[in-house]
Amino acid sequence: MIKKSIKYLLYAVALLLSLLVLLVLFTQTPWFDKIVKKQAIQIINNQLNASVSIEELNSNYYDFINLLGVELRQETDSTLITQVDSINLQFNLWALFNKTIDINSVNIIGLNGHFEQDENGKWKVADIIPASSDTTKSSTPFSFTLQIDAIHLMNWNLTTASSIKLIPDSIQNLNLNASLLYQQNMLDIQLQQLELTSSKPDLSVKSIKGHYKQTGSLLSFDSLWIETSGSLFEAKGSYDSINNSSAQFIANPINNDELKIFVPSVQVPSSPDADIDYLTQNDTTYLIVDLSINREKIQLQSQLLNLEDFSKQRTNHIPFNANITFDNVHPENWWLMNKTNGTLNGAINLKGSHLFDYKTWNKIDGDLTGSSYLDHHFQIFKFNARQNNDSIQSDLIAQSYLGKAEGSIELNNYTTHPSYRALLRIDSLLLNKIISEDAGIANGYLSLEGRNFNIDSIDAQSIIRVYPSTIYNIPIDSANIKAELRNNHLEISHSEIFVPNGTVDAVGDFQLTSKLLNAEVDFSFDSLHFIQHFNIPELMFDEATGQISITGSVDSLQSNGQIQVSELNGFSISSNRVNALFDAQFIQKQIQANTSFQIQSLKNSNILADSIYGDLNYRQDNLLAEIFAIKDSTDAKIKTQIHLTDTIGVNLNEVRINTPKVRYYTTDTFNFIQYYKNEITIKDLALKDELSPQFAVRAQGSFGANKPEDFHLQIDNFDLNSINRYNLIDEQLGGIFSIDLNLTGEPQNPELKSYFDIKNGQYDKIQLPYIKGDLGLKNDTLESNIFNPQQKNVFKLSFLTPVTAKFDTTGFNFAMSDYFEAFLQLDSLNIATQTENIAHMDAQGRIEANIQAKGSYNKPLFYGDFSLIDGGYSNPSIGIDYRNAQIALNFDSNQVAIDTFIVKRDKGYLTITGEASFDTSFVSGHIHSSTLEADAKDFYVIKHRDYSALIDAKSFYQDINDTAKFGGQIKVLRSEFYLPAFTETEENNTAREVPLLVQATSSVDSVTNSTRQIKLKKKDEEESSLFIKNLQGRLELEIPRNTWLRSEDMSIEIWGDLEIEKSNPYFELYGEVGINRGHYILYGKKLVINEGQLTFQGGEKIDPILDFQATYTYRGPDKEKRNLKLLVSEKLSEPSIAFTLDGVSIPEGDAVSILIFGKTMDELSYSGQNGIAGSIGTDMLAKAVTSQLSKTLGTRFNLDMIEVTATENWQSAAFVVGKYVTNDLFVIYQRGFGETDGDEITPEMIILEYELNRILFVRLQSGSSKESGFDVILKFESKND
Amino acid sequence: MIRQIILILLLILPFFSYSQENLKIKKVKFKGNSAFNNLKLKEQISLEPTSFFKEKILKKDASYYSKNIYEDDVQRLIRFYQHEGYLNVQFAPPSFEITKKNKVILTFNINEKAPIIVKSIDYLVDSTKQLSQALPRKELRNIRLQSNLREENIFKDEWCLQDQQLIINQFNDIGYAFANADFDISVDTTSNSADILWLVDKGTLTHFGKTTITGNNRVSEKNIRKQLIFEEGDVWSKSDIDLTQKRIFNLGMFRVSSLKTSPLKEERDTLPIQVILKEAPKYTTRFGVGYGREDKFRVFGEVQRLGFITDIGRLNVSAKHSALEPYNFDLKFTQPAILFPINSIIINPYIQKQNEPGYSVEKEGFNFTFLQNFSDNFNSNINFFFEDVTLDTTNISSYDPSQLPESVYLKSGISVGFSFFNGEPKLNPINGHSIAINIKTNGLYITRDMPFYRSLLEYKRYWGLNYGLTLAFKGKLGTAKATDGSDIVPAEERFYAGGAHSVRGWSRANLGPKNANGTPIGGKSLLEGSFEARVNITPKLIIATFIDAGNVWEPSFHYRLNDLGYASGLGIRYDTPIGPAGIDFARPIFNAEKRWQIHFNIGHPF
Repeated sequence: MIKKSIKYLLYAVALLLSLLVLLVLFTQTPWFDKIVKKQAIQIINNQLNASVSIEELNSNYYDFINLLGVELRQETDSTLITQVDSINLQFNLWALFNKTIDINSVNIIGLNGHFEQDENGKWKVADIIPASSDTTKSSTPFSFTLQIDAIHLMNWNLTTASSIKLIPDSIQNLNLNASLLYQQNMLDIQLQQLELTSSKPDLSVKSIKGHYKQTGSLLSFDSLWIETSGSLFEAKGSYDSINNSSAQFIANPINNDELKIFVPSVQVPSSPDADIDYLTQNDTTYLIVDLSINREKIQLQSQLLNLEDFSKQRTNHIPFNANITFDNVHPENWWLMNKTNGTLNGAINLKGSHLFDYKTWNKIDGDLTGSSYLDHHFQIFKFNARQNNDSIQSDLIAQSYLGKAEGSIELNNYTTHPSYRALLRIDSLLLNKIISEDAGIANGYLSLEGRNFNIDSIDAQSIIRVYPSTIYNIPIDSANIKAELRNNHLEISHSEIFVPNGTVDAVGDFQLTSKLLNAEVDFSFDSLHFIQHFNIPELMFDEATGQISITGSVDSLQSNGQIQVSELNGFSISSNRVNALFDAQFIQKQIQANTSFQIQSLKNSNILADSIYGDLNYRQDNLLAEIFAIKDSTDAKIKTQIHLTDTIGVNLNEVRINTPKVRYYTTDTFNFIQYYKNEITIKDLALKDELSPQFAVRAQGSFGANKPEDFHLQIDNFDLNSINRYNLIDEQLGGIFSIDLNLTGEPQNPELKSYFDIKNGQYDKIQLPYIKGDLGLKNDTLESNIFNPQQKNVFKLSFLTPVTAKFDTTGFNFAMSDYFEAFLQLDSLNIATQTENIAHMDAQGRIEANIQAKGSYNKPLFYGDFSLIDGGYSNPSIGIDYRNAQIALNFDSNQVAIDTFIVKRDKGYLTITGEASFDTSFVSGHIHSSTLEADAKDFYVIKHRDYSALIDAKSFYQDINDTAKFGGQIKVLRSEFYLPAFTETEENNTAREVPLLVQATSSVDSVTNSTRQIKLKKKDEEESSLFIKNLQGRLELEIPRNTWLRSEDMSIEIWGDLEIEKSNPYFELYGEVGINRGHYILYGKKLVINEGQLTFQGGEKIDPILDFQATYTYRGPDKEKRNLKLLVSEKLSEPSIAFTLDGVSIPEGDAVSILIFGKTMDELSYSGQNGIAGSIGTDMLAKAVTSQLSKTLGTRFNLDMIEVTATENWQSAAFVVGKYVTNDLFVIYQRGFGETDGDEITPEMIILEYELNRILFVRLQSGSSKESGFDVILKFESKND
Repeated sequence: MIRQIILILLLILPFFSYSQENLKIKKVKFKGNSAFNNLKLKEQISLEPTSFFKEKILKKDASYYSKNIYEDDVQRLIRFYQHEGYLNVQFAPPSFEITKKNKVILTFNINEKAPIIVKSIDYLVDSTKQLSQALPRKELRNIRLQSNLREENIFKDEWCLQDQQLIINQFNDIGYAFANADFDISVDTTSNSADILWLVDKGTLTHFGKTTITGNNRVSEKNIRKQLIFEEGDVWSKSDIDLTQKRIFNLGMFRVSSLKTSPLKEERDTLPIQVILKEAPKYTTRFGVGYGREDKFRVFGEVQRLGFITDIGRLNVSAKHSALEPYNFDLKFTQPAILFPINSIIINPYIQKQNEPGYSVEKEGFNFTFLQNFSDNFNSNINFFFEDVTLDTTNISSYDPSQLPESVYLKSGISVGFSFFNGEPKLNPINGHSIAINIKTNGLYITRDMPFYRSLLEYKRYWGLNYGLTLAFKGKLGTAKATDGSDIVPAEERFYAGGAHSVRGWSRANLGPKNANGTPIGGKSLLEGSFEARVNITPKLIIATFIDAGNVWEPSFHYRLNDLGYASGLGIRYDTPIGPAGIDFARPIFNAEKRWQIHFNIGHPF
């Protein structure tokens, strides 16, 4: 039984075992897997608010589970949340017995998920886990050990939809290798590798590694390594409690783009390296942050106390002490900012009782010396602040080459009743480098003291002092300003600004609420130089002072004041004194002003007035002006009322101008001038002169474009001489002019009638006869007739020309046409009667003329006859005396025929016959064809003390078909020319040496005021006329031996034949002129010219070749006869000059010396030659000779100088010495040595011997009274060995 | 339009016109000139009045006024003013005054304006150095003391050019022969000032090269070389050359002594010197007849021999006869450059007879004299004399016997004299002083007859007050005293006043004590003073007015200012190269004597 029982028991066990084996085998079948899968899905789905599906589950349920195709979907809309390709878990079941969950590996491969966050920031995924109702969750510590040897996550791709920017929209390729060990009180995670890429924000984490360990309360991590595409971090740290923690963080570097992802508020332009050490020990926290970018370093060293107490809210103080040091920090590399070009160097120290409450900070010390800003280096830059009991005191000092600023601020009770006091002092602050180019340099200080910050309750006063500064180009010597703001009332109680040329004082106040302004400004300047930079016109004065007061509210200001200027000079006007008083109102943008002014001694080039008084009154487009001008002898008064609207009306109430020569006044107060739309109306204008009752101007009527003209102007007896005072024209005018003018007609066709006369007229030096005439304009024709009423039949001139004249909207338009007609009639005009007053000029004869001219001004055509009968002309001052002249000319359009032209002088005569036709008019000068023949016989062209010429001539002039030719022969029978008479004036001026000061003023260094200018002689441009240009021909000039060229220093007789030829635009001279005889005086010595010649070779410039010799014969020191020859050759413009002495060439210096002293320079012992200059020689003689020949009057250089230095030599003789001073003057000189001769101390003795002949001398002796006298002596000298 | 009408009028109405030109000039005046007087300005211009004298007597052509010449003259005057520092001078239009004879009186209206004042003078040597670094102290001082242009003074061209030469000379003197000084003048016409910057280019430092001497026959080269104050290799100096030239010339042997520096082309730093000499004739003989200022008619003869005894020794033998000196034989041997170049020694034996208004003497004796020429201004002499005097008592029988212990006596002694004169110009001074002192003792050596002491002091002063106006002053003080207590000083050593160089209202020696016959007996105290105003009427013609005062008193050291004789007068002098020559007319004033005296002068009387 037992056996059987055992047997059945065994069967049962076997069956159970079989069942168990079957069961186990069943678990290894897919069916079981399906069942488990189904059950698991069901269980999970029941647990979650989502549906899970698993495609396949494989497991041996012993050491691994493999899930494939796991999907998690929203229960509601079946949207896919997560889908995993494969999850593989390998574990060791048996370890559970050791209370260890031992997972060999977890592989989750190919996870794709999508997570969304709702608007509250809650992840939707969180909804799939139902809220747990189990509140009685066991708090029993987890007693198992969890050990995961390898966690592999591969190929994870997640997408998210989150409002948090930091959460990337998608994460791809997340791979992770890690291991984990969890035991009671201990967690140890070793992350071997984590890599992922994310987009939005884009981040590529290449590797995250690290080790984290938690044991009890001690947390530590070490070798944390985070490498992204741009950054690399290493960190380690430990934490036990706040009071016992430390951390070290090294970033090398931090990529600024990546940093931006995490800390968007911190924007670092470049990638700094960072080293952060954090350590807390015994209530003290040390935080050291080192940041560096290349060589730039910022270091923060701080100590904080009681951090733990604070964190536990046991205290609200964190006493701290922080030092920030900067080393070569360029701010723009650290913070996004504009480029400063600055560097920060130095340190800032902060101390306070609470880090996060600035009110508890009680000390800030900064020393940024060595820093720079915008390339400006701070030599000193220090600041500090102390805070104590609601009050702050701070000081600042900064100094760089831009200047120095120093200041302090004291702020008390700033939370309750703030009061403050500030002081800022700046020295040589270069504002122009800091603010803008023209801001200048400032010196000075500001002190401010006050209470309250609220504008309504501010009670503050400040003093500003400025020391010599230049602010916006205004130099300020000093300024002192005192201002107070109290009860909404700003008051400047005192301000004084001293600028280099004056002072400005101002006081004033301004109500901030009512906007009422009240200001008084006094100023005084002696020049506006200090604001010259503002292109103020050049105004000079001795002193300008003024007082201006402004009152009223801002929109209706009243202003009055006065300005005085003394010795004003500017705008080409000067005045001794200007006073002005004004009174103005600006209400609603309307201006009303009254000004009265007084200008004393007003001067400009034309006007001189002792004083001008005036009152100007401007109100509603009306200007009332009263002006008085007073001078010793001149005063003027103008009283006008001017309406300034679209109609400008001037009421000349009174005009009175008194000068020594005239006293103008208006006779009526109703003079009225009105201008309205191109129409000028003048009413009863009458001006008279008290001094010349005959003078009067009357004007009446209107003219313009609107209605028929009706204007009458009458000027009676106006003295033209008065025009000269205004320098309007260069020439002097004179005479009495009267005109009566009437303007009528339509604006399109005005009609003018006027009658004028000029008595005693004068134009420059020309005296005009009494002229009477009329001038009329009608139907666009201007017509004038002029005649002399005294000789009515003798002289008549009429003139006519078409014109355009009309009034239109642009005014009066007047244009003359180019055509005119004129008619001149002279009937027995006796020249002699007209010229009797002219000195040295005597012309006589009778002129008859009937000439008509018409055509254009440029090419008028002439018709008529002109004849001179019994003419004569003599002007002894130029040597002309012609008698019995008969001239008859006939003009016919462009032809002039010389019917008769004969002039006689002495026994000779000159006749000309011929005719000329001009292509257009003879004024244009272009001769079309002409034939003139001139015959002269024994005719004195000129005969004067300085020159004369007697000629025989037979010459012609022909011009046919534009080819002008002249020819013939002129024989100079006798002539003589005193050349200086021709060349005396201008050439010499230029030859004279220019004074050094004048030379200097043209140099660059010199400052000259522009008023000085060298006035050049005004010359009309002389254009050689066509006539001359086209002229061609060849004329023989025969000079027999009777022509003398003379000057003071030269006299030569010339002869020869010259040809004057013109084939080019200029005349040319050809031929040889011989010098027959003559002499030439150089330095008072006569050089005899025996023969020579001048060869003319044509060319534009007359520059003959010279070839002559001149000889000076003198006796040498040993009485021998010597010949000094001057040889002149080459061209006149550059003559070559040489000297020979007895055939031996000698230098010029010696030649000059011989000419002056009869000795060579050696013999003269002229001390000037001792220096180097003497041996090099001078070209003074060449200059002298050149100027002699080309200008005939040479500039004789200063010979006195040579004489003085030459004689100096014998005067310096110490003892008795005899010496030839010149060739025939011998000097013996003996100085006095203090000897006596009787009652006299013997003075120096001079004996002068003058050689009469070789042995006979006369001599003068000076010296002691006994010796001095006059002797005749015979002198014999032995010949030298 | 106006122009055309005027042109037409000009064309048809020429015969009505007349002008102011071509009037004869009667007078030229100036208005507004204060810096220069009319005379000076007239020198500059060419317009000149036509005087009746010139026109009718000299038959010179009349000069006419012409605008061209006037304008030319204005230009000349402007240039003149500008040369003198008045850069901004302006001329207003001239004023005319037409006389009845239709001549014109022309007035130049001048506005001189402020002259340009020298504000600063700076020097830059070789573009880098200051003058003080480039020049030694002496030359610096020369520039400082002698330069004409000075700060705060008016700028003048002439001064500038003179300073230029002065600066060059200073560099020349320290060896820079090629030195050049240029000036850079900056003119500021707003403040009327000029800044002058001298730009000196020193050039190379030069040295004396070889010295060659040509032209000497009698005088040995050794003697000439002794006068050279430089040696080959010394730093070149112009003043050394000048001084050497003067020394050689002062030997008195040469008509020509010329030192030439001839730069060689290849060696610019070594400058050879050429001494070119021309000897004066060995013998010069003069025989003359003439009229002396004091000694009236005179005859004389003189022979000079150069190279006597030594090759630079000089012998002069002369004989003379005149009213004052009936005979005078004089032999003079001169040896120049003895011991030092500034010294000369003279040995001079003589025999002479002298007829003075107060006495007549025959003298034989000799002088042994040392002359020293310290500088151009300062000279001195030391003289030992020995003289045998015979006083001709027959001629002056009425002479007070008490004054005449002996008629024959010997004199010997030493006289020492100094003279200093810095007047400029030398012969017609307008500025400066002259002081001359002579002290003579007799009877100290060899002889013991009539020992006396005699001194004469003369002081002259010249003030140039204005152009052409000089004031001259002369004072003379003489004292003689017998040193043996006898109160007797020989007649020819006593003082006499009156004459052309003394008080000009009296003839020679005629002022002072006289004996009963009216013969001057001279005195032992002399005091004279003269004031003379010299006015240049033309640049060469001088009119002088003067007052002379003076007297002679018999006792020693006895001067009575209320006992002076006064004279006044007028002189006309013409300036010649050797000084003015002319005639002075003078007569006593405040005095019974009223006779006019006429003095013929060569040179100013003082």
